[in-house]
Amino acid sequence: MHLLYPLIVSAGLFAIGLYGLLARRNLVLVLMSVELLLAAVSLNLVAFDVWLTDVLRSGQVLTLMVIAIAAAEVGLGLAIVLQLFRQRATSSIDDLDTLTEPR
Amino acid sequence: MTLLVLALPLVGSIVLALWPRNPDLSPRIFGTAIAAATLVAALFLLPGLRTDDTGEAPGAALNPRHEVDLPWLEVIDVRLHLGVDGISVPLILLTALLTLLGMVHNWVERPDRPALFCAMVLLLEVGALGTFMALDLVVFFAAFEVVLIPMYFLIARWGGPGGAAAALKFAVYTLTGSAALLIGLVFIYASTGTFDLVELSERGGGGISTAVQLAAFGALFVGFAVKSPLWPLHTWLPPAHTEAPTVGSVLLAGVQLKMGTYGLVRIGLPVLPEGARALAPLLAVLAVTGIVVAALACYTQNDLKRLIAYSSVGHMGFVLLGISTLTAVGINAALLANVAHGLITGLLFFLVGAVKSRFHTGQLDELGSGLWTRLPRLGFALVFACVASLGLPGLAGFWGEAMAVYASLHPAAGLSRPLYAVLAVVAAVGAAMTAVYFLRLLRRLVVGPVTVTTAPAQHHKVRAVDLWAIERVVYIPLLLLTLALGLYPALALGLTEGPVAALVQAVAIG
Amino acid sequence: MTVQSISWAPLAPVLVLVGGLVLVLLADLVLPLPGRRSVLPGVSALACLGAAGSAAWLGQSEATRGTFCSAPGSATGSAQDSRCSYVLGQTAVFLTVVLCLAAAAVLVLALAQLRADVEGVTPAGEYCLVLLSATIGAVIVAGSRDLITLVVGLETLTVPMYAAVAFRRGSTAGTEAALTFLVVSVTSTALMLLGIGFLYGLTGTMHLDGLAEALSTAGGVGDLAVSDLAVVLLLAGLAFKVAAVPFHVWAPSTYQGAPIPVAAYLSSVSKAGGIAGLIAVLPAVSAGSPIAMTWIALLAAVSMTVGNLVAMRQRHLVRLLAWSGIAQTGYLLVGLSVLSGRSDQAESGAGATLAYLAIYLLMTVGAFACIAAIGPTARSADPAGQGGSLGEGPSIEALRGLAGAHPRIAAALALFLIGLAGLPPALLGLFGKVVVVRAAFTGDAGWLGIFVALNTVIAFVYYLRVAGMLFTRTGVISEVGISSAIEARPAQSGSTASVSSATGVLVAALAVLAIVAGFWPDLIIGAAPLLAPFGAG
Repeated sequence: MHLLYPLIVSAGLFAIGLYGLLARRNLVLVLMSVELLLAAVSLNLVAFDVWLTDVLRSGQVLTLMVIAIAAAEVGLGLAIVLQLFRQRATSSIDDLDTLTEPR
Repeated sequence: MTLLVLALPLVGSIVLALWPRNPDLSPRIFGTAIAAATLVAALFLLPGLRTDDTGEAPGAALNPRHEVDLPWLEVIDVRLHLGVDGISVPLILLTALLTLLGMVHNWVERPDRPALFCAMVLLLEVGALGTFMALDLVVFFAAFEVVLIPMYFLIARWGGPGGAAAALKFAVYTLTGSAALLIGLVFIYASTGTFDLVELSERGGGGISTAVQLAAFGALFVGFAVKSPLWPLHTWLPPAHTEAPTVGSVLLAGVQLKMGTYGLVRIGLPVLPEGARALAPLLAVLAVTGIVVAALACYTQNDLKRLIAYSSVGHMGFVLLGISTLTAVGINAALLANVAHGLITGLLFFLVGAVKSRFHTGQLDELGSGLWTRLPRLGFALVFACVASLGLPGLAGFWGEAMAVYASLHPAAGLSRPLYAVLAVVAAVGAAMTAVYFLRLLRRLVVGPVTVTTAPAQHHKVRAVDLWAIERVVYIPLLLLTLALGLYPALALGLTEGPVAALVQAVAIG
Repeated sequence: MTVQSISWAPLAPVLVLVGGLVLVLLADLVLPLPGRRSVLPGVSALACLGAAGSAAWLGQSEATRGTFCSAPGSATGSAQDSRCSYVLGQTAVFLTVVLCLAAAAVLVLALAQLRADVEGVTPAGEYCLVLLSATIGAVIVAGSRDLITLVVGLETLTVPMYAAVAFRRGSTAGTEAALTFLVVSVTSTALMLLGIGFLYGLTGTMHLDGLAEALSTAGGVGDLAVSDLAVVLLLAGLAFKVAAVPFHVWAPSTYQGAPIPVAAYLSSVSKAGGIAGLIAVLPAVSAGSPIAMTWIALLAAVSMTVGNLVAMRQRHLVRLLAWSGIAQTGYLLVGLSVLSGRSDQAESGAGATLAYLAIYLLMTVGAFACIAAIGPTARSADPAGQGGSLGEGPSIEALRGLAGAHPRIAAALALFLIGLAGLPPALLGLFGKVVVVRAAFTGDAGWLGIFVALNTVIAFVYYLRVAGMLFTRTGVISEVGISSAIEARPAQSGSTASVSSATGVLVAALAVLAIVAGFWPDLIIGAAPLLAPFGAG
């Protein structure tokens, strides 16, 4: 398969993830979009690794690391969102506005 | 010996900062002892100097004595290189003397938190002495910066009601000048690869292109101009003086203002001669404008301290005019005027402080007249100081101004003679104007019917007591030195002549 | 299949830290609650000191410095040398020592906080776990020679901090700060990984030396626009970590909402980790094209200016330190932006950054330690101010006249702030500024030197405002405030004293070090590698 196909899919995933990150209000959906971003990047890395037929398989190794990192990040992220919900009964990103610049 | 002179006030300052709050121990005694010891150590710097100063390396631009050359921060080419010569020793002695007198003054006007006050004064002394002794650009810069924080706290914490604002203005102005100074110094380093002043003076601008010299001298110019102060960068000085406590004003006028002009002579001229030659006319014009503007501003002043502050700007104008002629006569005139200004204006600020503490006001229209009749000794001292400041022949102030005007009529080769001649005339007129405002001050305050003790707008009881013994101890040395320097200027010129001649010769300016 | 060889000696700092981590976890299970609060941070701090010591010892010894090496001549090794993924070279040794010492100091602050925390809102074991893990990440970044190691190290540095910021159970500010931090951080990670992916695809290797080779061959992949894009993305991720403008948006809110030791950690070790990453990556990616250098220079100039200008408006002390930290990042980046300048001065730029980093860490940790020491008193003294309920740390107004009640802490805080500004009597800060300006001018980036000098003036205004506020003659407000604070907290009076003792010792030690190093700057600046006199190197 030509390198371009996975790259285009990855670009599409990245774009969707970026849109979700910027446009979504619900924090859980924001975290999902972040997962999409990281998945896009992983796809990118694996595609390049296969195309280069890397002996050290660097791309795939980094992808394994990224999977672990993403899992840790989203686990922590959801825990903190849960704490926010317990404290303030909201999970909307618009409500995170108390620590802004003083007027 | 140079290290000892520098170390004494430094150690004293640190000890005073950590002084326990025990009422039995007197920090003022300790501070005075340290200042006296520093002065004595500074006097020991005199024997090593030779008045002809041809030195081991004839033709060298800079022949330091009592040299100390220790590695300090070798990774960036900084060495702790200290030394003195005839140019710096008079200023070092002046600094040590004024600091000692300031410490004694603490018994006249007792500041609260005396330990911290004395610590700040000693720290100021360290900075000033370090500047005068530094032979390495980074050491110079570090010492130049050291005086900023103590003076800020002296004005803000122990000063008048507007102290915080005046101190902030002083600090920001000075720091901006220092930023320009840093840029200039590092620029010199980047072109030559060394921070060492002796080596740089040796090269006399040899390895540096004219464009770089111009830019670097411009940066140094801004930095030293703020400190001197040179019109129009002088506006921080009047508020700072007005709000500062007496000792603060004395040290500001007598010590700190010298650092700017000293820097020009020590660093600007020998290291960047072509840049100096290019910018000297500008310096001269601004200096003379400063003389005239300051005189005009003085005429309208109502506040005594502000008036003397503006007169300082005028005096430093003469100093800078002397430097801008780039001749041996001019630079000698500048250095002499520097020392004279330190003595005279220091005395003036002490006396004005005495007036303020007696009558609780420094405003001319609130004070009455007839001070000499009511308080003869204080009145006499004030008359003496004012008359010395306006440049009466026979007192120290005359020589610097007269020689500066003379030098301006004979500037260095390559400088525009007509311009300098015009400036000489304007400067002479400015000197005459100085007489006008000082005599006006004397007429209003010192002579005339005795209304000074019954003057209106007094909320406190007036302690119209003539000079105490302690005050006499503070003022008399300054009086005597002013007289001595006026009658025998070779006291200072003898020290400066040799190095200045070597400087001018080695860089082939004059 | 090629397998990298492992040599355990260079991993000594990491192993010491991991050992400490395991000990902390076990002790957390075994010890009773009151003992936990003192022992666990103490053990963690000792582990950090041990790591620093082992790194210093390794720096002196002749042992092998590289680990995870592939054999020479193999598919990824170059023809002559083996390519190692983690190398404890001179720079890495210096960074490891400095990072671990700063982490140890922050752990002392954490100790003080945990001891004062009688209600147990902060779980002690997990707190230390998080800070130690992040330190391990920082140490890995310092020695990384390979993009995978770099990513793993950076993430190990960042992910535990999400938890650390949110740790106080009752604090809404903390949760909000943690979420801001998390969202911005993972986005930047994703961008950085995208850049790494493209670089990998273009050059075929993850190793930094291989990248340098591939990008610098004339007419090779280095000329493609895509490689510039990839480099910019990679640097964006690192720039987020050091809070350079425009990747700085998370910093003020996060510092303000986090507990003081965590804010101290973020502004010291976390930032230093980012700088370590930049020092590792920049020589490789700037080999081919000048875009990386231009970019870093621009980031430096903009960070300095924006950081200082916005800091002037701040009324909350920790937020002010956050914005001033952004400006300090600008000064740190100046040295890095001249790396490929004049060839004989090239590496001096990195040396200048390393020296300034050490000075910056000392001053920042000192300032936060002072804030931690005065925290309880000052907060109650300012009921109407912005500090107190909103985030940790006092508002600047609450500091007024503090020198009357706490003279030594006030003097130390003034010293550290003046040190950050770069003026005597904190001579060390002045030398730091001289080193940075010198690097700029000798690296043919004089305009950056001018920016640094001018920004010093701007910054001075707000540093002096805070320092001056400390020493104003005590006004009525703060006197009343402090006495009411003492009355209102009778049960905590014992714990307030114990907050002061550990923090007080730390503040004193750091202040003494700052003053001594001011007179003997060789102690810190001379230890920085790659810094060379003019014309040498």
